[in-house]
Amino acid sequence: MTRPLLLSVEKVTKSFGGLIAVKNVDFQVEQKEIVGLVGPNGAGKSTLLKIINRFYRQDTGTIMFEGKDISRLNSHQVCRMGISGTAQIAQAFPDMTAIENVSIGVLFGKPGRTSVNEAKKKAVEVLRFVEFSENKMETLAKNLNIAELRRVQLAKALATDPKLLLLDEVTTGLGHLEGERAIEIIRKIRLRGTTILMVEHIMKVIMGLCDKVIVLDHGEKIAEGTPKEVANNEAVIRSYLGESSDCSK
Amino acid sequence: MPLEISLSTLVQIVIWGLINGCIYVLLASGLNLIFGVMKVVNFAHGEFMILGGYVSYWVSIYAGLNPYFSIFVSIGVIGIVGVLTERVCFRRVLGTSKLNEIVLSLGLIYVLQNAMSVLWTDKERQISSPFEFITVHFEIININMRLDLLIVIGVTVLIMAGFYILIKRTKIGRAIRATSQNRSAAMLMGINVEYMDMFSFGLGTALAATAGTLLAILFPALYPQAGAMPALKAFTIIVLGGLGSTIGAIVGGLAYGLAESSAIAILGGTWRDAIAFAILILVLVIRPTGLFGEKEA
Amino acid sequence: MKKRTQLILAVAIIAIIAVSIAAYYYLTVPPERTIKIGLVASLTGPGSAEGADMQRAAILAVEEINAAGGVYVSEYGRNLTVTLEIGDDKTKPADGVIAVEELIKSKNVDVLVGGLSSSVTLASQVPAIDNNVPFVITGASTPQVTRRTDKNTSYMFHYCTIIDDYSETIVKFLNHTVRPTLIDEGRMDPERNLRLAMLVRNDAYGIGCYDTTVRFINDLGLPIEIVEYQKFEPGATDFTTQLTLIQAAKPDAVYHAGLTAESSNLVKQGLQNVGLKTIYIAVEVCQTPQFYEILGSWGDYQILESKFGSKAASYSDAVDTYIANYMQRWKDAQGNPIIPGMMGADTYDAIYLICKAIENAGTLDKAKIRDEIENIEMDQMLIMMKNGMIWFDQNHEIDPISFIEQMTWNSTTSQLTTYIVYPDSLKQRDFELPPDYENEYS
Repeated sequence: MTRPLLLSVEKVTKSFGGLIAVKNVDFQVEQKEIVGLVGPNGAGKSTLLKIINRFYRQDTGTIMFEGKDISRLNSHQVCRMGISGTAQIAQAFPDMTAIENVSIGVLFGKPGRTSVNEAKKKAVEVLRFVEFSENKMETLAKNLNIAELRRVQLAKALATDPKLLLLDEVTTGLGHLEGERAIEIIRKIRLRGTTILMVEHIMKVIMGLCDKVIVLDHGEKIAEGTPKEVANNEAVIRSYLGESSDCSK
Repeated sequence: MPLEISLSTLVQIVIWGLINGCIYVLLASGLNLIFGVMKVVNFAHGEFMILGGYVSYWVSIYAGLNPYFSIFVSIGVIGIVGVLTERVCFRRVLGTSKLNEIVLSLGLIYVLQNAMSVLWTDKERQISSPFEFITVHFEIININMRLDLLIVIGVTVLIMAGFYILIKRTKIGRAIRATSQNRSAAMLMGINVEYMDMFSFGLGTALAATAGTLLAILFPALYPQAGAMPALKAFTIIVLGGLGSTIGAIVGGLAYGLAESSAIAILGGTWRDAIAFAILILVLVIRPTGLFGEKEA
Repeated sequence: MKKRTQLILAVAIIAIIAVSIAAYYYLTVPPERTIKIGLVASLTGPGSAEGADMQRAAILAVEEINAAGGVYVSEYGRNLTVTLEIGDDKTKPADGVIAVEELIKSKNVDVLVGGLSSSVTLASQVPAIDNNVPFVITGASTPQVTRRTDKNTSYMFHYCTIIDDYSETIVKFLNHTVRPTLIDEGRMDPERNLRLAMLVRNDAYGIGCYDTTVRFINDLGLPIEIVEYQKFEPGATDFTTQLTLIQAAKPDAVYHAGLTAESSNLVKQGLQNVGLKTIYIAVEVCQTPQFYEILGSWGDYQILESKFGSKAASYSDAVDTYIANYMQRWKDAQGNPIIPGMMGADTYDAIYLICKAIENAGTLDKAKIRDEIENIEMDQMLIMMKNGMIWFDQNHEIDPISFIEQMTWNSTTSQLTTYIVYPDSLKQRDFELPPDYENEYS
């Protein structure tokens, strides 16, 4: 089964100082697909996400989104084109309420004009979708706990009506129960038909959710395939040997 | 200060404090906005204020416009000057190093001061108001007040109310707040932060222009070097009110104005400017985050 | 080389050098000697209004003297022309020192004149003292310029009113004229003291005005008390809080000591912002064209202590001629007539007295010029003297007549004019209380 192509990363390299974080990586994401980016710590997964949302600029290589070259665009531009996501460290506007935080995404994250009131309604809707607690809707972000912040962040990303949702370690730092609920929400998002590119540490999460898995090690792609194929790939097993604890989780 | 100070004298001292406070509120709010969004201290803020005063002075003389209406011309002109300054100067050095930003805004002080010297000479000027000779009597506290003082308070309230609504209620206000609270998150949420820099700088300098016009209507304080001390005081006020806090700048500005007039009344006129440093040091020692500021998460 | 050749060569070289030196001295005509007067003035900074007036007056005096043929100096057996060298002290002590050193060392001036602002002049006079250059000070009002004890001030002369003169004239005017007027108009209980408030610049000049006022009230035993004493920083533009406190003290009059901009603006703010409707008495220091310009109609009925009434109706032929010449000279040069100020008048007189002293000395030797300035005796010019003569006392100070002027707003010409209201010998009009005057009894 072939679906239309949404994102295409071509020969992307990025280094910080002398350290190469991402090296010559190629991969593609098809529409309505859930793709997992895995690899040990420091493999360049988050860097790759940040290159796609244009937080970082790649040294070489091209990124195509819906057939358009986005390699020279800025974050706010690709956001309006439909790429949105969450970051590993919860990023919120501390002096705004949960609703205000999310409505920023509605107001600025997508093309077209939205009034402040419409944005507020939409924000409540999205917050409910991510099962954010009703009585914290008007709480300032700086007074929310980490799990609540993660939901706000997810809601912010969804509020921009993304075509491609980038998720960076949504379960990291959460308790077991919170983690399970986060995965449930991702399943719900998937049902809406949103394409997802997710970085995840925990193999179990990837195995259960993804259509395709890409494995990075030291900035290079070492494997790509269905979860099952990847799990049996020798190179992957080798690269994970040093981090067996992560693999076994 | 005589201990048997009468109520009307006390009221008047408070009024002088609040009127100066109005000017400081306008000046500090602009400085605060620029700092909030760009994380840059615009040391040349006082010069934009004086430049705004001169624009109003020119417009009121050559176009014969009522000085209170010339504020709007001044807001427009200085707003554009501010936007261009951001685009041409600050955009280039923003984020390179703090030192570059400081040197740039210090350099702007001299460029603007010299430009003003060439255009308007070093002579002190005052904008003359058509209501110069009108006073209003308040029976209850038995004081006479110059009408212009009431207008200055009124204009400040209107401008600050407008500014507050802009920041709190409008779409662009949300974008400004988002950018100042978390620049990278704002960027990832589709906000063009470079546009926000330009807009905030222009809006901040336009507020300074309002302050400059009102100052020049009340006092003969229009000369090229006149901006230095008020800018320093505005900086003290935003530290006092809490960096980045809009309410902090308003409360801080009024409180500072009151502190200044009380200092003159209690300690003597020579303490007027010294009080700024005293407050700055005191706040930095006792509550470095200011009255309305909080530690960054 | 042979010894003889060496000898011839040496002799030849020595001969060539000797001949060239002789030829240099013989052929070089020394540049024509002129009398070089160095003017120390504040052309920039807060004192620039006063400095510009001093400069204009000095140029006028020098032009007049040269037009009349210059100054006869017997040592040269002919008349020498006068050249003016100008040094800008930038109204700052450090720059004043630099300006005076440059006038002495590179411009080689014979004598110095000028010097505005007490603090600046106390610094800038030091190079003149150290190099024994006669200096006639025409701006700074502190008596210390000739009375300081840390330096030998024998080459220093003070040709202007000193702080003591201002305060003496003002307290006498208050007692002689204001107090009886208030009593006559039923504004004051004859038994009580006149209530005076003071608002002064926080520097040697302003505080000096306060100290001397207290001293004269006590020494002369006058029924005046100082009910409020407030200060402001140099360069201040907002005086409202101080004026409010003064208003609370219910004074009969306010004596204020500032420079042009400060004094005119504080009167305006007192009347306009604070509503303190009283008599404001200014000191001559602020008497420049800008003073009247800034005050405008707010100056109506207000008071100025002076010794040069540039806006008063004619009280002296010399002053009338000077004002006419001054205004014409600067109208020709700059397109519109400029009204002369007080410190320019001092400077103008001082240049004439310097030239007279040089003529008496018959030489440009600085010590002899100093002696002749010390012994000068000539008719008064613009500044009126108590015995009609210009002479210096043992403190190297003059004995001028200061008077009190009352300003009047002429609404048809939109200008302030002044009339002398004290002392009686010069009085042109009677002092009048402002129609909206308020004090304790209002």
